[in-house]
Amino acid sequence: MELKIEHISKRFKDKTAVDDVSLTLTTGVWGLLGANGAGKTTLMRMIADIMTPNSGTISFDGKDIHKMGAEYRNIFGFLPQDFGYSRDFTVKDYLEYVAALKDVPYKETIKKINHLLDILTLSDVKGKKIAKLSGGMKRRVGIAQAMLNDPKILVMDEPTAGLDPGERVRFRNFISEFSHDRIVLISTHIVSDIEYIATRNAIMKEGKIVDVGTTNELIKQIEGKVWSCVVPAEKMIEYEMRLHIINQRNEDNDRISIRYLAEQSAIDGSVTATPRLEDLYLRLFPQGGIEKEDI
Amino acid sequence: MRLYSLEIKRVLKAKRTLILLAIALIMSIVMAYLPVMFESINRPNADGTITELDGIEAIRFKRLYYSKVYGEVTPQKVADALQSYQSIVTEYGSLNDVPLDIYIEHILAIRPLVKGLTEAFGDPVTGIAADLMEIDPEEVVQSYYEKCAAHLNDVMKNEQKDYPTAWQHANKKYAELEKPFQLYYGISRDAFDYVELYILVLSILCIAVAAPVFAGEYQTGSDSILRCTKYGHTRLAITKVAASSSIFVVVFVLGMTIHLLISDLAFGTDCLKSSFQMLFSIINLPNFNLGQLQVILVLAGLLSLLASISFTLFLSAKFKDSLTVLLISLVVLLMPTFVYSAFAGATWVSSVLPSAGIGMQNNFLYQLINFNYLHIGEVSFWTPYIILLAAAVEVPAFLFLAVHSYCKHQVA
Repeated sequence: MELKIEHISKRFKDKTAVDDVSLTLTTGVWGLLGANGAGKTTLMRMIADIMTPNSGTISFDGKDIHKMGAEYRNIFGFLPQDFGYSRDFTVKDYLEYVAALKDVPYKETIKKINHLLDILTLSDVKGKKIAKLSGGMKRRVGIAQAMLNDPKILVMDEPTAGLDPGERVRFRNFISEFSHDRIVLISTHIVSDIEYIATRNAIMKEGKIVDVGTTNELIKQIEGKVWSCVVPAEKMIEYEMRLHIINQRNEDNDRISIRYLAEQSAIDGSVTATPRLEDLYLRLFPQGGIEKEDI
Repeated sequence: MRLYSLEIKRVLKAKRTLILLAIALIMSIVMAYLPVMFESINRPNADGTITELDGIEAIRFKRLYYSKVYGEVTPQKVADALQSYQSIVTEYGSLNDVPLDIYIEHILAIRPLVKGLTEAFGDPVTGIAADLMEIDPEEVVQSYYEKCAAHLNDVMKNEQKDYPTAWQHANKKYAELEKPFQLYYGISRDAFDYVELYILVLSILCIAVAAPVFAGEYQTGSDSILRCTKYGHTRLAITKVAASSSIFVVVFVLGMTIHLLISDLAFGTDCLKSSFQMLFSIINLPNFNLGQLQVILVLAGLLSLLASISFTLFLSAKFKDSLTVLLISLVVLLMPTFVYSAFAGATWVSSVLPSAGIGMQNNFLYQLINFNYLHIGEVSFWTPYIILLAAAVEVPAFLFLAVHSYCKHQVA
């Protein structure tokens, strides 16, 4: 099973959002990393076939997804970045509505909804209006709707936005189990959400895929370039100007533990640290655009 | 069917829909009762005094009071009424000098019978109404309906002098009318005006419900999810169109039923047997009674409403903002009224827009009353036919365009 993206481009009036992207997604969890404006959402919309590319094709097992139409949509699940819903829907009504649109048999619908609500800890609020739920709960309703038809291809744009750390851990475990024999594509700013569950990652920058590989393959590029050391607090301003610091933590006695990226040790006493995907991300996108779970 | 019922449930659960539907039903009661409140008459008492009656009491009294003129409007009956009128006016010198009690007892009661005479015997060139005192009752006996037909011919000559096909159509239609006319007093012209006004109110409310059907989904972003589902394209669009149209039909039928029930209960049902010409102009063309007129206004109103709603649904599928859709829809809804007023009569624009039959002077009732013809070359078309035909074409056309536009919509 593969979803093949070939030379896809999407241009808007004054910007090329996706520029000649080619990528073959196979079964497993795929992380799509990139800063704001990198073109992740546009690429996902084209994979969802709700936006037409200016050039290029996307095919599933050799068949053009646009030509597949309902056949493709029947095996597809999508959570967009902004989860929209009709304001008057309760959680249960909404999921029933989407289930009907996904042609989930009526007898299975209730069972399926209850199962998803249970896993996503939404059972207590199923009679409540979605509009009255917290941001995290709304996001989980969005995740539930995407999974109602047991999709073979699941595409989620920032699924963990608004989830608390506990919810994110549960989400990661759930997706890990779910992704067996399926293609799951997740875009996120929170690198740690996909670092340990992504089979492979694709990194997107300025509309192009700049790197693809497993987490280990990707972080090999920065092996020996991530350093850590403890420095006096008064020297922090100088180091911040001079180095690419990616993490810092206050220690006792007015000292600060820092983690920085450099080709060679830049501070006496620095030791190489085990690189993480987040380090690579920050190397590629030094301007920021990252939310860190534990900083 | 499952999707259809879920869509109906979704629309009906929306607070906005419930509020607008509640307003529609309340307005149906209020607007049916207003013309009842407008009714009034001075009742002469046994002691010579006069009591002013209003509302239901006035209607009750009028129905009793005019009962002696009920039935077929035969030339003999009209001539007798005219003779009675002339003898009383001659006795007192002029109509203004007739004492109020005599006027109420002998003249007011026969007015519905003789009012058509001033038209039928009007000046053939200027159309100025005739003086009842100058009409020969014998001529009325001999040629009452012929004079009516001749007057129609004169009017058509004046109004449509360059279009003989329009005259021919009008004369032919008038010749086909069932005669003698029937006269049963009761329901007022105001009541029919309020039927049309209520259709306008219903149209505004239904447009407000229809505006966000697709645009609301674009606006909230929920469309991105729905159109990724198996049935999220054509089937969803058709379901949305079918569900909202069903709701509008039910609301319209329910609202009109309540409205007409109240009206008919208040004015009575006898009067519905009266010929169209006895309430409006003696030379009007429709060949039906007032009860049939009510049914025709409801059906024509429903068709125009559906055409307007179809147009709104098309806009809703085209634009991303519900407010823009609502504003454009309302402008188009009111456009025939403005154009009709601006051009002081029917034009193609005021007759072919989806809402051509809805509004003030341009509404379907007024088109039935008037002699508006539009022309293509030498062929003339009566505006009520144009309105119905245009709406009948527009309903499927705009619904198709709505579904097509939704399916082609691209997420921004």
